Amino acid sequence: MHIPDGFLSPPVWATLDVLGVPAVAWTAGRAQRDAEDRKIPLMGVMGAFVFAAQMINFPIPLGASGHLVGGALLTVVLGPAAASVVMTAILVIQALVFQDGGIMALGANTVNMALAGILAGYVPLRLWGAQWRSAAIFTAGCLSVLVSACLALSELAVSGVPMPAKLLWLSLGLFAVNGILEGAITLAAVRAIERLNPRWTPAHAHRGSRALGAVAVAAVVLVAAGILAGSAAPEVLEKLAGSFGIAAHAPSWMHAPLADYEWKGVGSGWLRRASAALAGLALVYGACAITGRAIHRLKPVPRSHAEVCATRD
Amino acid sequence: MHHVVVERWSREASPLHSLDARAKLCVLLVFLIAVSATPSRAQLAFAAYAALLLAAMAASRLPLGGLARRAALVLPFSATFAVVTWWSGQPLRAAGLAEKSFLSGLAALLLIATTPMGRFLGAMETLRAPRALILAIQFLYRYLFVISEQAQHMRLAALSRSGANGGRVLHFQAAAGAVGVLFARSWERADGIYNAMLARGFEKATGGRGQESADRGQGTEDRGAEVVRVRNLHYRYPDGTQALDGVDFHLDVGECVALLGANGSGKTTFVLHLNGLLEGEGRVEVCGMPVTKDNLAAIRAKAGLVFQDSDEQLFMPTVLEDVAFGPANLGLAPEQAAARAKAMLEQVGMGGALHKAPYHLSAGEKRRVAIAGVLAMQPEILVLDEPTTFLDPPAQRGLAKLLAGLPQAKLLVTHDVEFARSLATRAVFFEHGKVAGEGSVDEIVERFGWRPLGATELVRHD
Repeated sequence: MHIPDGFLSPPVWATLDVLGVPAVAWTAGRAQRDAEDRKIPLMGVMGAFVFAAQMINFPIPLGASGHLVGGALLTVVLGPAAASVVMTAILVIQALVFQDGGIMALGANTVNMALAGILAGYVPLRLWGAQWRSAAIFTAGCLSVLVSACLALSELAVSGVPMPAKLLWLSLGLFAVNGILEGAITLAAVRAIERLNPRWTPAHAHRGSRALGAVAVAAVVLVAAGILAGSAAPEVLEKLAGSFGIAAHAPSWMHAPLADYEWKGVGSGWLRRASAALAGLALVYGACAITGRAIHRLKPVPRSHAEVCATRD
Repeated sequence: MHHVVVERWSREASPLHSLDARAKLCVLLVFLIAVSATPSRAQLAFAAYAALLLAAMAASRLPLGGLARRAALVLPFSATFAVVTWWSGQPLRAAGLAEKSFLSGLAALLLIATTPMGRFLGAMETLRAPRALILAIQFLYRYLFVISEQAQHMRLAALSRSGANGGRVLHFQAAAGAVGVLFARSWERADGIYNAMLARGFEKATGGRGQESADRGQGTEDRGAEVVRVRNLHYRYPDGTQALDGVDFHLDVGECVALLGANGSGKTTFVLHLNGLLEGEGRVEVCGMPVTKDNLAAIRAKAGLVFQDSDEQLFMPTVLEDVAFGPANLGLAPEQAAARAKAMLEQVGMGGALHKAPYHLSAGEKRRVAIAGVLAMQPEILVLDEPTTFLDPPAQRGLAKLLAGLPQAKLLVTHDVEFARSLATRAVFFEHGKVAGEGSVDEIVERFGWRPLGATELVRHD
């Protein structure tokens, strides 16, 4: 999932670097602000812990084995902002010292794993953490891996790295297995840690509606899958758009996505692709907002304590 | 281990090593952008890039084969995609992908193999990278060595008990348990590091206030000969364990006292009170000042704590930076802090190791540097928690000689009776969180049966 240098075309890595820098600065500021001082060494040591924990093999059927990725576990233990900083630190060390992921691609890897991945893990934790703690932790592990993987694949596809349908399905299948494994490992690890000392895994839960949580999680998955589908298999989107009668002028750019990037002729294709993605995002967001509101209306509004006391008299 | 080799390379000397880290970083970025923007058709350009890198590698005087082999870590990923690209009828592009990723990986490796991490992070700091991130990277890199070694030991221990099945992998639950234990150790280590930082005057909110309050604290009270006075100290851990149960204690100027007692009798808990790392009920005075929140900076400058685990105490990238950490927290300018650190390192006989990474030191050297780090705070009291653990006999003797030559009042928490006897004029025995006895080391050893194994007749063959 760590994209090395040389795979992303300059507009892709440059955009993600430009996105990544302020985002990392923001999370770092945030982590520093709400962290007690104690968290300063803790963040680094937890990063080293994730490295070391990756050396521990977990058996899976068919004689294979997998290991922890760690984003969701960090989110459970440190909260999203600090987890994101730790994940960024891990990516920097991996890129510099272990040649795992590139330097120019650091922005892309950070956006995929330290920002989107952590955020995708945080959503279920925050929404379901109180009622369905185990399910929330499992889902957090799954989503953090799946979302990062979908984003990485779509960035590669947009950069014009050939991605035949078979390969795409194969890698998606592998990522799905990885996601489930990460969920299971994260859950098992959190349980083991809780047995040793419950104070290490504070609840980030914010008692919210389960249904709203489901909508949010579905939205995260949809967005990731949508971005991937849009960039790797544009003909699907094209067909979809055609059936809605939107794409009267079927764009030719979809078949030549920045392949072996050269400076000429980027403009229009690049812009249209980006605006299509944005429109898709807006659609998903709108759908979620409407569903969320509908659910909210269906639920009886909880009365305040004062009201309850008043009605008792 | 990969990072150990890269770290060793980064401390060698060559024209490339001595270049400014910022300059190297900028050159690297330009190089990477050029590689990325070169179309795969221009194979000649890649040959030129490779030649450029070869020249730089030669200038670095590092083994070419080793560098290339380590940069080849990118190949499993890029080869997979290259094969697919080839397969979809774009051989030139396939070659381009593999070449670009390998050349870029090699260039990044060359930067970090010729720049110690501390200097690289310094360069990042001048380029305005967020401080929380830099600190996270710095601590990550420092403890990567310690914790991955710990994981390696755990793996070996698990393998040695795995029996006939070869123990290639643990059971799922057992693996989760191992992650849990590793986590617990890491967390406790982070706590220890944080305590060590506090003990050396680190305080996020105060900035340069340390010196000021240290000055304010001086001579506020006529305290006579006592530098530490503790009356009726009680402490209960959050889990309900009563660790200290009415401790009275005093330490005089220039005196050396040994604190003996069983594991879990409250010795370490007690010394953590002397510099305000724990707060119990009762009265604790250090150099005439009561240990309260307002006094902490001054107290921590007066009572220097040398921790049991030197790895927790040495958290900065190099020996010099580590020893300068305390004085810098006292508000000294960087040059003054470095000068003081150098003087202290000379005093403990570690003047030749200024720019070494703590990871590369032996246990005895680590202890000496830890002591230098505490001495740099110019304390009046030295508290040493199990100073002889992990030290071989010559290092123990060296440590005893070093400590005997220091004028400060000393409190030794130790199980090592011989060591205590060679230094301490008085011993205090702890039992169940109380002081059970006081006297000369020999008296206490006799009274509580605290003779070391060799001196008792424990192993009898009758």
